[in-house]
Amino acid sequence: MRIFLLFYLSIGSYLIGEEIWLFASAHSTGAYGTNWRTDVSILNNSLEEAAVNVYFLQSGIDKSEENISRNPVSLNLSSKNQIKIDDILKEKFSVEQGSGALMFSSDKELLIVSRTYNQLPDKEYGQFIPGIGISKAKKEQKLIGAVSSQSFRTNIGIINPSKTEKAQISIKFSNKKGSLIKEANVELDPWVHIQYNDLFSYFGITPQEDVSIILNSSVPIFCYLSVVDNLSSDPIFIPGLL
Amino acid sequence: MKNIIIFISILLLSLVLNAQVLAPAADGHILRNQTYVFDQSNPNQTYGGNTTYFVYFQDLYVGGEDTFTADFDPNDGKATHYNRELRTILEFDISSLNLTPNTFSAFLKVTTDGNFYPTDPTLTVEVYDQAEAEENGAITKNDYSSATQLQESQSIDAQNFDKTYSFNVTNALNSDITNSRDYSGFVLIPNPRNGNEVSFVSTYEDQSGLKIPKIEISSLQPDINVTVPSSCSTIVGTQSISTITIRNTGQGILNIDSITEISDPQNFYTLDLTGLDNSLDPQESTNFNIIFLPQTTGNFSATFRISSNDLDENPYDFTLNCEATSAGVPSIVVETSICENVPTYTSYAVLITIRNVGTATLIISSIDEISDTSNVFEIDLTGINYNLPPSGYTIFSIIFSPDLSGNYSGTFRVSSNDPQKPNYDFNLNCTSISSTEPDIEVNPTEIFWNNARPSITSTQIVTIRNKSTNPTGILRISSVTLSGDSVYSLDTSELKLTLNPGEQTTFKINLLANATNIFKATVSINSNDTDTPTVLVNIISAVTLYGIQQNNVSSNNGFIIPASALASGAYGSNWVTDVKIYNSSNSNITLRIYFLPTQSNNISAASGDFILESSQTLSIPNILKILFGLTEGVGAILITPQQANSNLLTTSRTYNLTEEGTYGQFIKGYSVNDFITSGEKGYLLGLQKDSRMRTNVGFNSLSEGANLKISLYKGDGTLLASKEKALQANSHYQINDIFADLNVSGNSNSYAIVEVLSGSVFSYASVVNNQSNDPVFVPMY
Repeated sequence: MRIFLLFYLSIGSYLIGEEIWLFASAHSTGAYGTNWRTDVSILNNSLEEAAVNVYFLQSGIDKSEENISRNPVSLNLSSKNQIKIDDILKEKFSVEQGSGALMFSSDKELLIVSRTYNQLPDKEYGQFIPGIGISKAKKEQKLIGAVSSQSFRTNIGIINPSKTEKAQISIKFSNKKGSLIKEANVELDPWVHIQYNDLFSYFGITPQEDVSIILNSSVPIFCYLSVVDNLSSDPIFIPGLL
Repeated sequence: MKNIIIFISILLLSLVLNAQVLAPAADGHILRNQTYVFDQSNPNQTYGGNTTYFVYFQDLYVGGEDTFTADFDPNDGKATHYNRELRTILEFDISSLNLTPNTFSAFLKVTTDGNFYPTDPTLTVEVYDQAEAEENGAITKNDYSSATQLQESQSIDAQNFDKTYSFNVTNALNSDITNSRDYSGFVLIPNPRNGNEVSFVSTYEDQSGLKIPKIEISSLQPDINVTVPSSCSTIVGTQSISTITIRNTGQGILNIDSITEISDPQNFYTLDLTGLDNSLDPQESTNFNIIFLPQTTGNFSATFRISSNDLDENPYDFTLNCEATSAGVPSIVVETSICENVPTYTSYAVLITIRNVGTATLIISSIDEISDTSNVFEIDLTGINYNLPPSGYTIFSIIFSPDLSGNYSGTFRVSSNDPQKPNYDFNLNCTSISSTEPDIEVNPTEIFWNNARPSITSTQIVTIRNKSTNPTGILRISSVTLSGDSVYSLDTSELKLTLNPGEQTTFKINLLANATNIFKATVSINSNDTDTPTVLVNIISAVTLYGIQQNNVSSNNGFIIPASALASGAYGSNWVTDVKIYNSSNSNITLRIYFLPTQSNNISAASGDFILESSQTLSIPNILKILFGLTEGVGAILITPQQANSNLLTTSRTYNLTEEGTYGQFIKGYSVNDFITSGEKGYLLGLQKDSRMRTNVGFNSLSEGANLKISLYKGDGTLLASKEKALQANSHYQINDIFADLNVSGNSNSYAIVEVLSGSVFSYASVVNNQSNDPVFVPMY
């Protein structure tokens, strides 16, 4: 009975039928010859065929109306089948240069994981991004481990998963000792995904290690950090639901 | 039907010189570069018939320019055009033209106008000489059939007009001149002659935009052109040679009959006609020399004459002006730069300057080493100038490379045209001293304390040694400074700032913290070692409440980081784990961090205790080394808060450390509540084994140990294989390459189900790129 009533496990736990979000995805060619792609694996863990609608929220502060009006892509998964969609933005949404969040909607139990990676001729490197249930969106979110140094830089992403309400967000940055070092306010329209690259530069914070971030929003939100090695460009994904 | 209006005038033209219009020469030949212009007095006559039409000109005379019109307007009653063959009759009055037969070429130039019927793309036009009987200055119907000898035919563009065509009529005009006729006539006939496509050759000339036929006549005479140097100069008693060039710029062969000197009062000039070509085709040239050998100073001129068959420039006289100056003498001076205290085993470039202080050019013929008994000198002539004018100088180098200290001397010779010092010898004296370079060595350059405790001083001695073996290589330490966390201090009471070769000294670094944490600092040592002027000593310490102790493991309310490593792995990978812990509570938390080695029964384990203040982040780089003092290890990290309801956020990054940076995976700390228990299933998605990726799978248990079953499926739900595994207490177990372990072939779209048979289990997959060794950590769902 448990599996049908409440599938609730830490990072990848969902309520059956709830929206499942992938906070970041990409099909883009970036600086220094980077070539970002996102592969997604979806498992239909139910005993029936699952009809799935996939929505794409293109990143950008002004993309609200466009994201809300964009038609979803429909998928059908047989029971206990896992499909793997390589380069999902290009394959399903014909994105030639773009990034953003993905939302999966179904009345069946789905498990979703993804890998966003830089695909180079001789190697790949990337970050695991789990599917997160909408129930994990919170008005208060905490992120730890932001760093700006010779070795690393940090990007921050925020999603307003509400399709109807704006998110008024205050962001507080503290150093490793817990002292407040910066405050900022951000307003996100409904269904907006935004990523601020090199948050230390963007928000005018002195480069340092171990900065923690607390976000307080008027509506439940998602957030994440992407900490990138400056030499290898390899990122790790730190979701804001710890 | 189409109206055709024809504008024609006649122009008999030769070449133009300085825009002047001149009369022909009295003897009748065409002078080079002169112009003749012919116009007509009664230009406007036409003759019409039923089928043919033609245009004629008569009474041409020498004078200004004019035009006339041949009118084919069908409505004016003068002519009717039936779209048939149209011939053009051109008669030129040549009675005033004095031409010498066979000394010219003539080309009839006509231009098409736009009054054609559209026809084939091209049309052949033939130009004939007119019969002698009709070359009479009066054109009648008979002129229409008066064409005799074809002069030239050409294909013309019959659809695009205002194009000029040139027909060679030299033979016809030459015949008329030879026979002293007053008129020269030509008939232009389109071909085919009886088609419906009628074309007409009108004319066009750019003067006033009028359409004008013309004959261009060019002389076939030679034309001499002589180039003489504007000046020459030499020293008295020496000769200067001037080269004179003769070029034939005319159309006929230039025959040079003679070249003679006609004026040379001092008799300083001599002709040298060696190699002279006496017969030059058009545009050909030849040279001869005039030698100037003065015996006194001053400016001197001589005049020379060239006799040739040039009609209007024969003889051709020219004058050569040369200057004779007094004789000078070059004089050499050599200067050397200072060469002192050159360190042994180094190379030093001594600059040598050669100056010409004379009045004539100094010509350096060679520079040689005469003596160098110690073989320490080497001449470098890079950039030297061998010809120095008066007051000029040049620089070269002598490289001094001593291996031993002492005094050295070498002798060198500069050979030149200096009449007083044709071999200039000079000595170079250098001194060398032993190298003074010290060589610093610092030990250790990395310091870490993993077992320090608050309020207890820890001390590390750092040794500085001068490795130099050179007696003069004295090491001078200019500063030893500390930067970083304030828990560190320096004790330099025993530090010597001057170290002779082989000598060493020490200083101390003290650690005294009043709280737990990870502390970092750097000591900078600056010295006169030019190779390594600054040496850094990096310090990092883990200060825990009680040091690292073995404690019983209690995982009931903790967080587990499922995997950590300090290890070498597959494909040359080097794995390291950094951990961050954030106190999200409003009060201090005392936490204990355990390392749970893989495949061990971890009833007890090494652990360190920290007190973490509210909102504080504890960041532990390379936790297995810095905190636990290990040189290698693999396992899980357990973090247990001592206070109930403690709110901790725990993260880690396990990465492959390479020269290109790091490639890593984020692994958070999972609560024991995230473990699944007996009868429950966990899912591992996105598993892969192919040319791109490989997959490892890991498990963690809690205090009671566990039994589990892992089943591997293809994406379509087909079971590939399964196995059971027993885990000891608080254990970590990882299966590298789960596909190989289960003896199944690779698959790019797989998942696994972990079923707990007893106890509590957390599971994860680590999917690794084969090329970069970059992993992603996939937690159990």
